[in-house]
Amino acid sequence: MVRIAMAEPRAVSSANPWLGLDIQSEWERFSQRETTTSSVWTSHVWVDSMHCAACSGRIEQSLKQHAGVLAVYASAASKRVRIVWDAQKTSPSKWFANLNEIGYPALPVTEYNAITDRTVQQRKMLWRLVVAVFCMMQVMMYAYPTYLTGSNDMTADMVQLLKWASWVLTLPVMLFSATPFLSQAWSSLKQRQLGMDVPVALGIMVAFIMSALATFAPGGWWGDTVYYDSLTMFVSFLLIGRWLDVKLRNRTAGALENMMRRLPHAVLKKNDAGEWVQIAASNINVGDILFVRPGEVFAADGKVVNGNTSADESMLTGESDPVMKAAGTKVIAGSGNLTSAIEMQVEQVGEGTQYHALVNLMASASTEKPGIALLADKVAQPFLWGVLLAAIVAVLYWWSTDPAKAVMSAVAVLVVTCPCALSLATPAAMLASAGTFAKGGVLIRRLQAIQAISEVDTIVFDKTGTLTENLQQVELAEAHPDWGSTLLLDMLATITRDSLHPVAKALHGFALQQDGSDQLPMQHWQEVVGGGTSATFTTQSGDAIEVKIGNARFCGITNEPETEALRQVYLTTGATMLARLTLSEQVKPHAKAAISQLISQGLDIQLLSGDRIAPVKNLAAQLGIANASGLQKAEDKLQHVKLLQQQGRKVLMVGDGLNDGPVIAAAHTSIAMGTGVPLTQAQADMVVLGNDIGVLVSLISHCKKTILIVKQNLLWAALYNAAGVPLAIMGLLPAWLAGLGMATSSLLVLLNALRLTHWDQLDWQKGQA
Amino acid sequence: MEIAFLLIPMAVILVFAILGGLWWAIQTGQFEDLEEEGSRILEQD
Amino acid sequence: MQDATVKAATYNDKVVRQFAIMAVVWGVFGTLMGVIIASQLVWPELNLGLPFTSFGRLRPLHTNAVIFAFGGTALIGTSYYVVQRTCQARLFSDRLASFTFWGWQAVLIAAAISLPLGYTQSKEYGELEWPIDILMAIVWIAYATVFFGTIFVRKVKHIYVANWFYGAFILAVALLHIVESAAIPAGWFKSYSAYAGVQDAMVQWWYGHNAVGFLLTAGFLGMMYYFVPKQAERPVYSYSLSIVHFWALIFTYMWVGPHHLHYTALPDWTQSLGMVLSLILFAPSWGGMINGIMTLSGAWHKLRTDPILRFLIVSLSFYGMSTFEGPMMAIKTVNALSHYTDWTVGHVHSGALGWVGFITIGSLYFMIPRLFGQKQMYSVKAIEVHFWMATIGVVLYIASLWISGVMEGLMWRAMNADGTLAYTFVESVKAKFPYYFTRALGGFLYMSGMFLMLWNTYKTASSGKPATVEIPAVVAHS
Repeated sequence: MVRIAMAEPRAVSSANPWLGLDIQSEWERFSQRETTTSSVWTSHVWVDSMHCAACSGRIEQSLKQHAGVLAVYASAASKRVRIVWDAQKTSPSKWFANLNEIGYPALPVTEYNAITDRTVQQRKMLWRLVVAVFCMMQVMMYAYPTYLTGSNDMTADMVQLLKWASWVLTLPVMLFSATPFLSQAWSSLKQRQLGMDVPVALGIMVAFIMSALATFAPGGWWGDTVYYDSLTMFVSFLLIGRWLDVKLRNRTAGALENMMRRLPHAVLKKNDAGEWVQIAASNINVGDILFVRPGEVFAADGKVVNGNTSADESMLTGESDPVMKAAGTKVIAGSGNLTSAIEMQVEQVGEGTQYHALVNLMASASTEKPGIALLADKVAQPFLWGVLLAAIVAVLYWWSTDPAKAVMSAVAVLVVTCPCALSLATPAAMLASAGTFAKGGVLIRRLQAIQAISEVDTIVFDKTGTLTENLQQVELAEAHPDWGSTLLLDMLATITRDSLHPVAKALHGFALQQDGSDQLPMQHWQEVVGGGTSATFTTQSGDAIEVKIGNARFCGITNEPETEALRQVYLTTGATMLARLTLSEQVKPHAKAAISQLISQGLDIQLLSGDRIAPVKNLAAQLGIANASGLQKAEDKLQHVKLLQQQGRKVLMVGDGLNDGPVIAAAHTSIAMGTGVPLTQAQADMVVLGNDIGVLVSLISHCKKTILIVKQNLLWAALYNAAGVPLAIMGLLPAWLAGLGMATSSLLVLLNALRLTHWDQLDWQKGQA
Repeated sequence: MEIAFLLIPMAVILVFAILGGLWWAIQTGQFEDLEEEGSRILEQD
Repeated sequence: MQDATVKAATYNDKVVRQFAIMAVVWGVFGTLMGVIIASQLVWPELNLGLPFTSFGRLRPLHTNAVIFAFGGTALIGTSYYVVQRTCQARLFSDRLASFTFWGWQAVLIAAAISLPLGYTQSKEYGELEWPIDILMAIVWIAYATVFFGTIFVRKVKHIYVANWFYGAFILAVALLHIVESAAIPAGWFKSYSAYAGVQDAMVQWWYGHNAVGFLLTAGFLGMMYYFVPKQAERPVYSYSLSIVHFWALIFTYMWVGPHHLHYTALPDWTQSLGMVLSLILFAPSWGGMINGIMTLSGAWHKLRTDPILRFLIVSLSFYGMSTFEGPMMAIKTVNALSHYTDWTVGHVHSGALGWVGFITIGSLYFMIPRLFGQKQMYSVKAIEVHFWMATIGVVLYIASLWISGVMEGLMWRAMNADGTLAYTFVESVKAKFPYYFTRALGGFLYMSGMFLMLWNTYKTASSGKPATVEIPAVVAHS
């Protein structure tokens, strides 16, 4: 086996390559102090080679014994290790080296700083909610006695004391908890628009001012009744809705950040003296020579100058097979170095890399996407005008008889029509569905996707990995009649034995399955990137024959027969073809039933693939898909999707690779299927984990059900308002009852949404059977 | 019931003190990763 | 120097051992006092005709002995155990910790001497005279310093929920004790309350109920949230719920005191407020109870073989029962029947014997063998027997007082057609005799269980030796 053995660079082997991390400013980028004064830090590192619980166990076991490391939490699922360590007893370079020794090279993760913004936002939201709810509870307590006791039971000074206490407890709610509503209302007014928050803010402000006047200057036209309880309850319910929303967003967000985090932060660079030194990734320049170990991610675009390895470019190309990299081949930033250490020369850095181009493309494609106006928003605009009008009517109607009643009737109108239920209607249902989906292995990145999916009329599949299994089925299509099949299989098994290429692996597996042996004596084994492998065997008569296995070009086959299989490989010696093998993909279970179910629901199913036309057509025929095209590049797919959209179609793109990225972004909505394609996860609106295409059917029907419930909720909110507003205008609805009504209607909306928590992924099959 | 004029302001101050405790807890991330923390105590001794 | 480093790397379990042993001793003493006064109610001759042994003097001794001596000692001891282990840090100060032990025992002994001698401020659960009150305050501040100091130097960022409960208990008891005990001394053994009339009553029950809320509930919930998961070997059913439980409980508990003063000179609206908040309190209480019991979900079979777990889980059932009964009794119409009757006493004991007693006994049975380097108590069979004695004891106790209380309440309000009372007071006392006997019997069983525990503890401690536990350098990941 010919592999260029790469000696570890000497400077690196003698000195610890992670010494650069021992500067506090360096480790601060991926660590947090336990408390401001302690020397204990929590660091986050990424260990790519940690695949299973056993790996994480080993890492924990080993690091725990490292002096100065206080705690280790390894998660194989996220490939992250959290290390708590004492800066007085150890330093990052030491435990980085320790990790490397046991075979788990680590990279620092600066995620901690990246998520701070989101964490801060979430904390603030929780804090607003907590303040509102606790103050509400206290205010209720002080408000309660006035409701249930006779007017003479409490002395005037006691009533005043309770009002005062309520006022103090309402202040934090007004000044802090309610600020999002007030400021959003203000900014929408500045833009001369009527936002959802305007009536809310108005109601809150008026109720507070009236109550404050009643507290400190009782006896004016504003009367002496306070509404602190209604006010705080109102704000609390509004905030619960917001909080649910923020929580959902944060749970499903972050995938894009995951991708951004992929590049390493420190690399080994050869300096002028020929030594390897650790530098920050941001300091890489074009022309630098970098040392990249297996398990690391290439930090820049460039070419291999020394060494031979394979790279995982699945995140960037959607191609899940490892790509062989010999000296002179290009490597791309963001792809992973899989098998051995290499040296590379940098050709593009930062913004200039293909990786960044892709990130930017995806970001811009998703912002250019036509925004799906939420159903609630459509209803909201005219509704909000109606609310204000009704409030004004109430004021005008009562003003002459009782100004206090006039104002509070208006407040009652504003409160009873509060878009609480209205604004909860959509997120509550969506949240419930998103949670249900998550339990069933479907992740939602954009909430609008639920609505979008319920509207689609066309589904476009990207063939690879979406409709077929990743495993390739091998068939022996042709064998030379003069060669014994045992010998052919033995040669096939032996010659493919040492290759990591998935095709070779499939062939090797096939040969072994057919009782071939991979232990034939073999010499001069060689692997040619993009071709195949070759080796020399000795026949029984003592002749040395050179045998090749690989594609037509590599084996010198000129007249390739047309086939419906995905790939053909040849086993040859000299000009003699010993065997021809075909590799074809298997249709996923349920795929045919699922497709026909979708078609029967009136959906147009299409298939676009980058593969050769014949196998694509063959697959389409197997599945009953009428419209299928092969040899589609990313641009072609984009073109096709745009064309469909011009015809007024709503396109659901189902893909699995990043080469679909721009297409996914352009489509009405998108679903990524399959395992281990994180980039697509960041981009597609939904991600279906696992291979079952049948999930699509129930997914679409559940999305439709969700939208139905959203509509029911909106209808309920509208009916409730229709009933409440006249009562409020007539002054028959005190503010507290309006608040209670608001709370009840919100609760009903939430309960209705809870019906979405049940999702049977297989119920569509029952109808079929 | 003059005592109420002492007890109620005290109660209000207490509420703010408790809210202060909550603020500290939220800001220092005491309420994040909760389920992991729940099982942590089982892993000692 | 070397000694100091060794110390820094181990937990301070010496003081925990001291508290644990004394908790058992005080448990025996407190229940013994209870059995004596319960017997005096059945056989008044047991008053012995001496002032020191009369019911009026021994009853406060009983309440102080069970609440502050047994409950308090167990709470301080377990909190030291829990805070060190959940923070992975040694107690903040060994000296101060040692002071809290000796200081607290001094308070208790002073109480055990002064109460029979008749020195009292005559406030329920706050009988101790002002010099003892001051010593108690000093010890409590030292305790707070040790506890919060340990949290301050903790090695684990997250503060486990049990510590929140313990912390709230410590702070609230300090506040309550200082406000309640405010008095003007008139000599070394006499003082007058700083409050007068209905205000004194209001402060008294603000204190009285919060002593129940924060000492007998929050503190023991801290115990529950550590020892139930530990003994069941599974995490709390929902950790998030436990945190909501905590905040909801401390926000509502503070204001339920007035329900002790239904139909008194207290303004009607204050009484109603107390009633409503008591009803609201039901929600967080049951949330916590369900959370505790459901911790066992998937491991119910352990109940069959593990008497310690049985103690812990049965204590939660009693917690649930008491926190249902309590709000119900706070409803004014129900209270009209139950107030001043034995029903109230039964209710208190279902909480005290069932909830507080069982959770403490279970926690001590968990802790004591570990403190003496043993795997389990000397006799697990004895725990089993203790469990059944205690359970039967509690059931006899609360069932008899429940019947007796309702009967008593009905007899008091029964009227003849002409509007005169149907029964004289003494008739109701006579009618209670069999129930008082059963109550004394239940108490005796419970007390005998405590004696058994004392024996088991002695055997465990003498067959093992004080264990030194190293602070683990690492927390494993789930």
